[in-house]
Amino acid sequence: MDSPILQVQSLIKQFRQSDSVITAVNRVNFTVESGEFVAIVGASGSGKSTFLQLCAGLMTPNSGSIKILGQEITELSPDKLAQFRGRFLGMIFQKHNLIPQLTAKENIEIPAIMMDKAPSSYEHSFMKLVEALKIKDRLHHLPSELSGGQQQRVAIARALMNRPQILFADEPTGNLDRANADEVLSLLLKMQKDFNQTLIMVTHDESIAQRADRIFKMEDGCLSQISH
Amino acid sequence: MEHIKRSVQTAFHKIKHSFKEFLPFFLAIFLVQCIFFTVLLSFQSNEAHLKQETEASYSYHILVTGLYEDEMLILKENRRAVFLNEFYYTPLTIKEYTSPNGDPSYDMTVKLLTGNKDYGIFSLFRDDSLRANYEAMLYKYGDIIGEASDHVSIYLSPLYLLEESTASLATARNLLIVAVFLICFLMLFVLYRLYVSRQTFSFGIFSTFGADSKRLQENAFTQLYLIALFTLLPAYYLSALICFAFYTAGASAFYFSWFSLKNWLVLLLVMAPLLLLVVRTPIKLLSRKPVCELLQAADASDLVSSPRQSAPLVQKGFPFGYEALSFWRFRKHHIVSACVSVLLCALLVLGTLIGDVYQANKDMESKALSDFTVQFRGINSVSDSQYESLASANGIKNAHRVYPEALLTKYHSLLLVDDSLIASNVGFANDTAAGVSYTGDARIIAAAYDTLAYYKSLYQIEGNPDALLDGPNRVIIGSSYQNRDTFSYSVGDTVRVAIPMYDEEGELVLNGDKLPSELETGEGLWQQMYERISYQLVTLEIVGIIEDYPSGMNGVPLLLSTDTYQALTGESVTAKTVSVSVDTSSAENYDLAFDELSRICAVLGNATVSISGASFRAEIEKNYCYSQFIPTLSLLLFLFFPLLWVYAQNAIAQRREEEYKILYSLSVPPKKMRALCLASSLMMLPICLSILLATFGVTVLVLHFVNHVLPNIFHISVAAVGGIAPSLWGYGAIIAALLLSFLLSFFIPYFHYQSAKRSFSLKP
Ligand SMILES: Nc1ncnc2c1ncn2[C@@H]1O[C@H](COP(=O)(O)OP(=O)(O)OP(=O)(O)O)[C@@H](O)[C@H]1O
Ligand SMILES: [Mg+2]
Repeated sequence: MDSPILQVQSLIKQFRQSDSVITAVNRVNFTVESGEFVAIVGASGSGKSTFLQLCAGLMTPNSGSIKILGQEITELSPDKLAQFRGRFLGMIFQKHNLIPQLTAKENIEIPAIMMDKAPSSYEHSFMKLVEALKIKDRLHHLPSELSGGQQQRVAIARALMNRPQILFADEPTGNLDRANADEVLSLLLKMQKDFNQTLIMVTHDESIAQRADRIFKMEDGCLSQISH
Repeated sequence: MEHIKRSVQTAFHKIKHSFKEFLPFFLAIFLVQCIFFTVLLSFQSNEAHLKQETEASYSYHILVTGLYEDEMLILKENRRAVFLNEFYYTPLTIKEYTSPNGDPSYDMTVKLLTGNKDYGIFSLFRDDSLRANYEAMLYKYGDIIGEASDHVSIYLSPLYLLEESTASLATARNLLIVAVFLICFLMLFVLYRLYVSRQTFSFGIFSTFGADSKRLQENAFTQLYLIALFTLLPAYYLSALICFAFYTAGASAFYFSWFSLKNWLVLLLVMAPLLLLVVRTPIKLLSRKPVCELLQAADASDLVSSPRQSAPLVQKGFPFGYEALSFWRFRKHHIVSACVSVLLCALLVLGTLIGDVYQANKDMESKALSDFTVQFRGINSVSDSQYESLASANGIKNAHRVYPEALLTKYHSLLLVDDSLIASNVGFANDTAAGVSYTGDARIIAAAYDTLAYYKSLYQIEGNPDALLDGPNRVIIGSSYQNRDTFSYSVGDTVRVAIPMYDEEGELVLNGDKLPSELETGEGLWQQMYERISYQLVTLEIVGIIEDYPSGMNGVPLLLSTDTYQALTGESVTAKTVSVSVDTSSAENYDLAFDELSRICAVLGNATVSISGASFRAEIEKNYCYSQFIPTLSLLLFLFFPLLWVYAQNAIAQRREEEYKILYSLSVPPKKMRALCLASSLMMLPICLSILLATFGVTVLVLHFVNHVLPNIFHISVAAVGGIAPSLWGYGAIIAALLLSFLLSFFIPYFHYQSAKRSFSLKP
């Protein structure tokens, strides 16, 4: 087996309010192998989203190391980090985080445009993606004209657009009903298989977590494996 | 290439898509281009004017006067040329007249062939008798005029100097463009920062999916540059219209070409670095922040007034206390807007003032222009008859002998004014022995009847100035000092000039053993001088008072008759030159006067004329319409003011729309919401007032600078400019803009509240 795709060591993230310090992520060690599906569960406010954003390079930790594909991302400059994210990482936010002024299609195309891909090069995969996510007939709507679940699926399509090697998903199925949630999960798992993607997912859904290769639990900022 | 095409396409879509968002940039970039084009076009018009007038008035480059016949022939036949390609010039005209000794004398004008305009050309005139000219000319052509040789003079016509005049125009233009560039940069920068602060969330998403700062900058630049392309031509023609308007107002022609690829390219070239600089820093700063912070900016946590930071500042209470918190939350915006506004208002007022100062100084200068100087050699002083023969020449407005002047400064002399007459704001208190006042500098001028006539033509002189020459110890004196009405004497009063006494060794005679302290200045120095130095007082009777004498290094003028001058200063009064100005009412007068003066000089034998061309230059400069151009330019810059305010207030209100939604859903009654908006506009009131006050402060400072600092510290002679009268319309514009922004700070939030309300009623 080659080296792990993601390796986190004694990661600490603290938020300082005027008089108190919240340790959202507390000395976390975490290793994920390439192609794995890892689920993270935990109570609300336990630090799951914070941890995910740290791993995705969207937040800077107070201390600790995050190695992705052998690259220590905490040492990258903001610009290099952005390029790195664009090439290797995908992110599905807990709140869908679509740009309100852009249509669904434009929102989905953002990663491709940012990586300077010609439209012809991603046309095909784009169509397949939106078909699978059942948002093909909603492409020219603004986010405000979409339902919560549709917005979520647009956000998922956006995260998958560049076929990232690691996909971080923060409760991707939170807004979906059972049937839709299962379908979206199947799609994510299919992508994971087809492109040997690594999937790291925060979820409250027990049945989804059960399908993961390994399950971790977040408790007051501390991460521990509870199954494999 | 593919990449550029794609990013242009993306930018185009983005602009088309969110046109409303980019509208302020359309306006701002349009304005910037208008400003640049106005500068460019007006200077091009000036250059065209300069060229046209010069070429119309002068067909020759060089004028050689006083040639003997053999010299004339050498030049005429170009005998110096050995090869064909040495024919550098063609003689244009040759005039012959008879010199006092009966020999013929010649004036020749010469046109240089193209490409030969360098110093080397003067070697052609190198002949034994011409060598002096040549060498002097090589040294510096400005200096040789009139004094180069005992019988020959060489003059360079404005046509020869055209390139230099053009270059100095270009320098002025470039300096102005740099200044305009800086101001425009600042304005666009402030605007773009606001834009970025509204777009943080989008930038956060872009960054999440791989956009680095270079990419973001590139996108932003492409968008703005595309806008610049769209607005280029409208801006060009609008600024042409603006130029046309103010040139017409200044009764001058405006030269303009409808199709000018060069101008358009120049502007696009200027816009590139400008826009690059504008987008660079805000995006750099933005992309340095962790992405999650950018994303957070979009959620409501940022949108609700945060009492945590501002609770100590104001007591809570709805709507005023609540609104005060919001005001505090956006304090940075308000401060930046206010500072930029002060800058713009100051620029506007400055523009109107500079226009006025420029006009006042041109008016002042135009009265004292000297077009020719006649220099005498080998005499003690120009006699009345010599002067009269020159003054009789046709086509001249004024001729006067230039007499020496003495400056009474520092240790040299004091001007004392009879104590009962003083209402001065400078000077000693009345407790000194003599009860005297002083002026900083006094300028003692010897005046014969011609000089007196000259001064009478320049200034308003109250009293009976002609009486100056009727008896000893009489004076015509200026009543202002440092451009301020300082002395309130009337005709018939006496002033005393205090002249320090020196002993046999030339040392100052002191009352004690100490000199006035080197460290003292102003009043203190004068006090010490008066106490420590022995003065001899000479009493002069005032026969005339100069009301409008502009003060510079010249101080207060004291016109004395030549005899009185000599008695007072101990210097002999001699004049070696006569200064002549042309009657510009007719265009031919210039040539006519020169011809006549040359003829008279030839008859006198020991005098030569030199040309300064001051009237010609002044006439051309008048056509530049600077006094209209400068206020126009500052007014254009001022237009950023409303643009910026509307944009800033809109940006703030837009960010608060979510907050209004929450307030609405919490059932805050409309009356209270109106009160909230009223509160927000009332909070703008102190900002508006302080902008106005700051602007007024700047006006006072500028007036002080022009009227006191320039003449006093930099010794630059300027005409006095009075008060804020010329900038009243500027103030009108400022007050209108402030009123507008005050009203808008009510209506814009209210409008956004309404639209927040509507968004609720749309949802089922
Ligand atoms: N920007 C911030 N500033 C201060 N505290 C924060 C910030 N972001 C998160 N926190 C705190 O850090 C802790 C962890 O937050 P996080 O969002 O990671 O929880 P979570 O596990 O994702 O919860 P949920 O399941 O509700 O999404 C919380 O106590 C939260 O209040
Ligand atoms: Mg969370």
